[in-house]
Amino acid sequence: MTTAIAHPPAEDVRAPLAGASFDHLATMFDDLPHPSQPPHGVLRGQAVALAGAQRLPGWARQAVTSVLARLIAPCWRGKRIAHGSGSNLWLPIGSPLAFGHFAVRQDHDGPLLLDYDVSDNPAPLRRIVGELRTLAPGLYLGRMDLVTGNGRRPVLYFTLEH
Amino acid sequence: MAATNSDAQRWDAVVVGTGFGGAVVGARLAERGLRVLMLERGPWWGPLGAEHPVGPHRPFPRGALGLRKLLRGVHLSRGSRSLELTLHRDGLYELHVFERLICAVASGVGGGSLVYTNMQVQPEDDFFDAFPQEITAQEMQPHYQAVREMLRPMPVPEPPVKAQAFARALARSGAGEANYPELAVAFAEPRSTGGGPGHAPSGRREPRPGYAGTCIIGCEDRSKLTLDSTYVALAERNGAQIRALSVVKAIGRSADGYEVRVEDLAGGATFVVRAPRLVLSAGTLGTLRLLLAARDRHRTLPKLPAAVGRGFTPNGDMAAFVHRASGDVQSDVGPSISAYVQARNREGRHRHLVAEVGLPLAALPLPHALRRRLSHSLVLFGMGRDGIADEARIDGRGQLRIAADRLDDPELFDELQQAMQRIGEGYAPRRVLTHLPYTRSSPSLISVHPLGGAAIASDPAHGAVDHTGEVFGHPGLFVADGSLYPTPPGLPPSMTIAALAERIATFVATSSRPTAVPR
Repeated sequence: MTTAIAHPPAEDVRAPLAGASFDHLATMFDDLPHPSQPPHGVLRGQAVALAGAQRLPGWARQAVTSVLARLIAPCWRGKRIAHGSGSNLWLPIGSPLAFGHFAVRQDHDGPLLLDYDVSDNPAPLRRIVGELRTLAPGLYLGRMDLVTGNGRRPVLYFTLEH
Repeated sequence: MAATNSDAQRWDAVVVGTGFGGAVVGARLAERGLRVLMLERGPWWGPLGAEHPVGPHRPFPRGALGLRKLLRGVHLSRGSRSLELTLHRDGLYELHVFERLICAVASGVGGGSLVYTNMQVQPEDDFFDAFPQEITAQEMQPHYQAVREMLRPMPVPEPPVKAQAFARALARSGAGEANYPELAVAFAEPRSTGGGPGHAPSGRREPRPGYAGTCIIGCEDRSKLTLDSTYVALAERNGAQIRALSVVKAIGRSADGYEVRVEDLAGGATFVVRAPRLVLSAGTLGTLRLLLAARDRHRTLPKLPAAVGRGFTPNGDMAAFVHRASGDVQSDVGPSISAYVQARNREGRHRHLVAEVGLPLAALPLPHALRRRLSHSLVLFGMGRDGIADEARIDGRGQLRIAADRLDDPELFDELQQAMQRIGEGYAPRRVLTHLPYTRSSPSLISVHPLGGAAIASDPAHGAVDHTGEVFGHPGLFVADGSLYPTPPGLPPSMTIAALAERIATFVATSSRPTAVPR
């Protein structure tokens, strides 16, 4: 019909995340911009890397992370964020349960923090601080840090998307 | 600004959608030498798509098995329910089920042109009273002419039996005179040497292009001048890249313009494209969803005008079914619509129209006996200048919320219903079922022409975009589709969408690189 142009391959913005180590993700995370404003509404979540798999060699880490992410997916649905606070959504698709609440803090264009130190949460959860960076419009890379006496230690990387 | 990925591709313009807005803008920008990327969530369809050397293509939904691809999915946002159910990512139609309104839209390269009824109707001059002063009926003439040159509309050369039956029904019911609209259909000469309709000069009987009643669900004989064969083809000839089965999930700002997150439905990848010019032509509901999400949900363009979402209208759409007319109708022979009747208000302005719509029986897997019976039945479809100006919103799950219903303008819909009842009875049928698919007095509506919500206006207090199609306060961000309508035409809207897109394309092409996209 016409002189159609073949599509150049489109690289997946999520591709660098699959099976990546915490070190690699930390570098990537630091390079990503802060969201200009907190997102609003329900965001679908997906685990990307877990602390427990980090000591494994690369190939095993990738396989274990993939399996764990698949196991987590039906349980952890994502997060709901609205008006300066939010919560994690669990299990039933239609009406998920909210557990793991957080306050959303951001100063101007600064870091977008998810602070789990809220009274509704059990004590262990209150030691968690999350942060979101923008991977693409409406798509975020998140990191959960456990606050210990020695500072903050990452335990989970995840994506959130509308 | 989001991540700078190595895979990001740079374009002079990214156009979202390939319907009557996007196809036109994409073609004209490419003609001017701009590097244009056109993103389309649906596949290439039909025989034309099969010949296209690049991109996913699908045969039109036909037969018991093929018809499963008739429905792409359903967006449901009613009461406490809010969900998106995708049945086939490469399906043809999509339903949006709101509180008291159901909208049906199409998906594929060519957008609504794949399934519309080919009517190319220009509104009367007073319609442009609602537009900014720069846009008048006279000023729009060259743009309508440009559309005419591409789509070559003409009235049906010889009214088919169903159009003649419509004229007789009008005469019996005293509902007015039949008009024969210009159709974007490549008609064959109905009487060529060799004698009789459909005979080629050789005397050998040939199919009669333009008479296939199935074209409302995709045109197999290519007689319908759809956008994939006209404007999109022009865009490709001039170097534009068309990515089918690529759905835009979100938009945001980038260092020098805008960026778009795209999901490749064929390969599963998520990629980002950037351009100084972004044209949203995803159809009214698609464009509103992207704009409202960017403003209220993703917060990537939080300073989009407050007027985004306001002024939504279902174009006064209403349908009726005439069951088993007493005379010959041949419902499945001829263009889907080949005749209509117009009603005016006291001031002589267009109020509404009612058109006869044949049934695409040959495309449906029906027993022969039922098909023969249904060939005596038809649909009457009405459109009117309703007074509805609802506000579309986006909910926490990303679904549009629209509260429009019949009670927003009961007078118009009562008039339309009565007109359709009267015309239907003119066929002396077994039954006339008005206000389909609902009961007669239901407050719910159905629309295949959702319009408005990003209205063209003189200032941001009254609309979302200026007369050039550029979103107020967002240089380089344009809208070119049915969402531009500031008021319903009560007519098939496609020709005016295309003409406005012709006009908007000139401004997109000459727009300077945006330097300050507001945060």
